[in-house]
Amino acid sequence: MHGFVERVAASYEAGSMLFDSALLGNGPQTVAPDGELPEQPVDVVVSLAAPERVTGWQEYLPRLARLARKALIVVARNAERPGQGSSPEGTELAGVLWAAGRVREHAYLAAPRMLAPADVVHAPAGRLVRRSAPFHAFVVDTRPRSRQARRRLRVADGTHGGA
Amino acid sequence: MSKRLPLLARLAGYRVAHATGAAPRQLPVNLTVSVTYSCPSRCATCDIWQKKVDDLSVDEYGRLFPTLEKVPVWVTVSGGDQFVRRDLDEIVRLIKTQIEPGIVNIPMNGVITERIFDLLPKIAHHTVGAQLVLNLSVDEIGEAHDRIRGADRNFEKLQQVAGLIHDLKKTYPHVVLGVHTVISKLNVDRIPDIEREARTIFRPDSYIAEVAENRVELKTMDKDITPSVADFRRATAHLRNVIRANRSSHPVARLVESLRLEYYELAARILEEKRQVIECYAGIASAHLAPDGHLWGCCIRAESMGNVRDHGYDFRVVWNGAVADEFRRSVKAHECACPLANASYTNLLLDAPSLARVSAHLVGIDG
Repeated sequence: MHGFVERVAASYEAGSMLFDSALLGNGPQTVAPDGELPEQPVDVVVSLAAPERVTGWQEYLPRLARLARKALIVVARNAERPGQGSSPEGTELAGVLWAAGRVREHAYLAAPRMLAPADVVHAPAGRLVRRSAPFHAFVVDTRPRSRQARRRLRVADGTHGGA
Repeated sequence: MSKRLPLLARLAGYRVAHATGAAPRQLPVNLTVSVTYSCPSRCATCDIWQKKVDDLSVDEYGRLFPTLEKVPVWVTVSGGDQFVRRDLDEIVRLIKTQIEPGIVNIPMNGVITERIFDLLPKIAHHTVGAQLVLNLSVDEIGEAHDRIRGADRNFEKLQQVAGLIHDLKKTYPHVVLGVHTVISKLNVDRIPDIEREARTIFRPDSYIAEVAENRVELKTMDKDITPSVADFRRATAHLRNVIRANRSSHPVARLVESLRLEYYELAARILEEKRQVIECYAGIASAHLAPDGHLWGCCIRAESMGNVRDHGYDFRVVWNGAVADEFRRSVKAHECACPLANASYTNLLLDAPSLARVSAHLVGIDG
């Protein structure tokens, strides 16, 4: 799990990070999910099990996304795994994340090695992996979603150099 | 009749209606909903953008769709460019909740990229529980595509949209990416190269093609775009070989491929023989709803059976009307023949020998 977060953070060249659980990393900023969020945005925000831990996670995750200049990483319990109990997520989580940005990655984490080729298996994954992995993770790109939107943003920022 | 009627029983009902000439007691299983004629593309093979009508509103669709009694299994949402409409996601949501089809198919030109990036994730979310087939229109490679489609940087934009769809597939496994090529005189000689390059660039779950033809709907009745039968046969022979060599593991993509294996031969024969090679069930098993509420048996003839706006938005009233019966009589009398893919799909399923071959393709026992 740590390796997944570190790899994504590196790919986004994260200079600053915020975690809502010390279980996922000891970054310079760690907040409890029910605590106050900082006002200053960071490059990458990492959230653990928000649908299970946070009442009103549908509003909480978009707030985290707004704090993330580049990406929001959401690690959640895998509802496809039998015995996980009732989970509030599933397709509802996907809808919330896509409303917050562009979901670039979806991976299943920590499936038993006898059933999975690696600790991190990207979707679409086989049935055995989907049914055995205890967690899955999403990487939400929170930058403007299309080239046109990015171009408009650069114009608005006064940093547009092209014709 | 309720949707719970098994599909095979429903197909039998269509056959009885066709054979007896009686008005069908069933609604169509295959419905195309054209939501606008507006389109930013200026394709060499289509002038639909010239047509201006008053499009049905979301509220009007909300009154109309329940009268379909959840019978259509396959709903195609077409245009024009559907993404001209800012409310497209809401129309698709109504289709999913009020019609409950098994497959929602959206052909896409990829031009209005920013709108697509906004609406497509919502559309994917609304269609969970059905299969969402997104077919990108790719008629050539690179700038040659842009010239045929009359849209600057269209090919580049299509690649952006394909990237978005691949991302959507990671969280919405019901999304299927297809690539669709209109085979015309402009590209018929290059189909093997276009198919090969499009597969490499877009990595679709399925690749399909359809012949450019003269359609009233598209205002192409005077255009010289249809390739010769020999050229079309050569192109589709390649496509059939490719399908056989690269069968998809995705169930919906595999079904589409199985239908295509039959359809390509059927389309070639119809072009060659200029007759209905198998019986046509347009107006019985399939129908097309125009953006302004006119109901057609098919978009080739685009003859109105009536307008739902004039009948309280009740699809059944128009469907069971005298004008619709006259259309069915004409089709049954073989007064027309065309290789329209959408109607051909249901025609193939309703023709016993074709259905047997499609089934054999599907399970892989066709040699």
